[in-house]
Amino acid sequence: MTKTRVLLAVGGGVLIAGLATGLYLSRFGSLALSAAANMPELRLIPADAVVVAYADVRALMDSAVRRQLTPPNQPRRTSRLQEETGLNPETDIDAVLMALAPAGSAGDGGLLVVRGAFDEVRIERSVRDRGAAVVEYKGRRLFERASPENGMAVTFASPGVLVFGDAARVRAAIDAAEGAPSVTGNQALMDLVADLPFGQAWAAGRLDALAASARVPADLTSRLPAMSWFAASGRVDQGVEGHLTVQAIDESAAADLRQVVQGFAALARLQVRQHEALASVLDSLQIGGQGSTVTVGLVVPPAAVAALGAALSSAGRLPLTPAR
Amino acid sequence: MAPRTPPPPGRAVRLIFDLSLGRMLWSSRSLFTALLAAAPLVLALAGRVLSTGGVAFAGSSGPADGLTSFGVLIMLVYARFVVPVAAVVLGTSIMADEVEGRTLTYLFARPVPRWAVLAGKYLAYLVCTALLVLPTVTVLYFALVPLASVGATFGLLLADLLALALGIAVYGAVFALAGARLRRPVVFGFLFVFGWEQVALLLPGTVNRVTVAGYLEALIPHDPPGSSGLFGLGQLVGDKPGVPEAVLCLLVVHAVCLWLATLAVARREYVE
Repeated sequence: MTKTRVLLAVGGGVLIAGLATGLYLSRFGSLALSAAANMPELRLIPADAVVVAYADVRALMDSAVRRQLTPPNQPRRTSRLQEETGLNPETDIDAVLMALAPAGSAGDGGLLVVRGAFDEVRIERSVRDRGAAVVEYKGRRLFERASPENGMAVTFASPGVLVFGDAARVRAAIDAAEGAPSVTGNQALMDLVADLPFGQAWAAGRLDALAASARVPADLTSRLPAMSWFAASGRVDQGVEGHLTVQAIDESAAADLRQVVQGFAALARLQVRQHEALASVLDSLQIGGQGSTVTVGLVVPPAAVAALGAALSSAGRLPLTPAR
Repeated sequence: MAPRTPPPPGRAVRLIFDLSLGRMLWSSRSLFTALLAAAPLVLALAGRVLSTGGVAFAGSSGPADGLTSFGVLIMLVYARFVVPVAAVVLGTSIMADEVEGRTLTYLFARPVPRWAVLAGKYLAYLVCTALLVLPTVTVLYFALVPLASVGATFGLLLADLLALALGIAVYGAVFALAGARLRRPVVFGFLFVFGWEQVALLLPGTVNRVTVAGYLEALIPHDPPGSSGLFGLGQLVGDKPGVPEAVLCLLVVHAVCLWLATLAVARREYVE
């Protein structure tokens, strides 16, 4: 009976532990486990942000995909940005976080939070040379350049963290750093971020708010099914894997959207069927989702990346291997 | 010597349960069921390792996302295969093993009512099968679904576990009845699961309502995996029952089969 009790305890323990873990996560959300949602730079994004996007630039730069797509022995040219600020985007930037404000809000431009190794003195001098005024805001030096349409500003939120964008948004970022509500308190958006599969690049936000602003052509939004939220993530290693989840306003809109995506995929297949590598990418396309949710998954296999890299390094065009 | 006083019904059921559970858990049938239940988990883990993200299925060249993979495994493997086969293997043995082993006489010689023998052994079957199947489903869920998505999708796992537990109970009752009445209940069980149920699910109209699988699938909250192949044909032509109807019908089948099995055990003369 002892052996039986041990077996009962093990089986029952696995079941109870699984159920308890699931209950805990469904009660307290996935936020505690999500590396993305716990990123410290998110605390600089104002609470009213409608779209948040992130890229782990260091991981992307170090990835095998990037190495394959970059022609070897290519001479490195020093960009004007590097000359003026000492910033080499390929080596000095670790991560970039971007946020968009809702249309009509004070300073409805974007906000960039960049983490990396900066020569702060040189950057400040460069900004001042371009006519920016130094403003003190809540104990921080803010470099603002006013313009008739929109003022831009840049500041260092902390050593190695540069904040750049619309002046009103940069001030809001400083407010958030000083304790004002940040996007981490935006439960709906944070749930989207927390549910994203792991990836070196991701984006999430409200599509309807984005479309309401002038950033998306009205001609395009009027032809697409009505959508509310989206979340996308990409994983880059030997190949590239991407996931997109779109929340439509109802099941009918979701069905329409699936058909639109399937239509585009069919059209693309016709265009690339001569190219084995690109065809394999389109074959990996998975369109799914339940109810009002539409999901799209795409895999670019290492072979396709290699073919693309070879094409780029040889002639600057795409002489991909035609299908036999 | 004073005649032995029969224990109260609850105690009698408990006695038979205790006696049967250990024997059932450490039998070769349970080992087979454990391997059967663990096989999808091993395959899913291998598929995840190979495809670094999900399980690739026929008709798709890329990996599906974890939740879709989990849903497909629940619908196609656990509900259609693991649970029915586990029920055939263990459910038919509830009475048939005692008959074949010629040990039924010893059980019936005890001062416990015959229905309590069936009830105790059926409860042992329920605990044994649930113990072998449901933990693997839970582990499979956590292996395939990213932890960050658990909060949003945990309800699906609960619904799956409840549906599979109900399936184990109902199939068990059906095959307990077969074990109590038929000479070769395992043959009947496999014919029922892989013959009648598979055909009935493909037939148009409401024929799927004469199967356990049809109701069970109505309780599983995952979309069917595509519309290709025989599975897709069944989804296309079958009239899927609603959840309340499915639960009610499964409970009725469960109660009727257990009642008939009890009657069979109580009335049948088991000749050794």
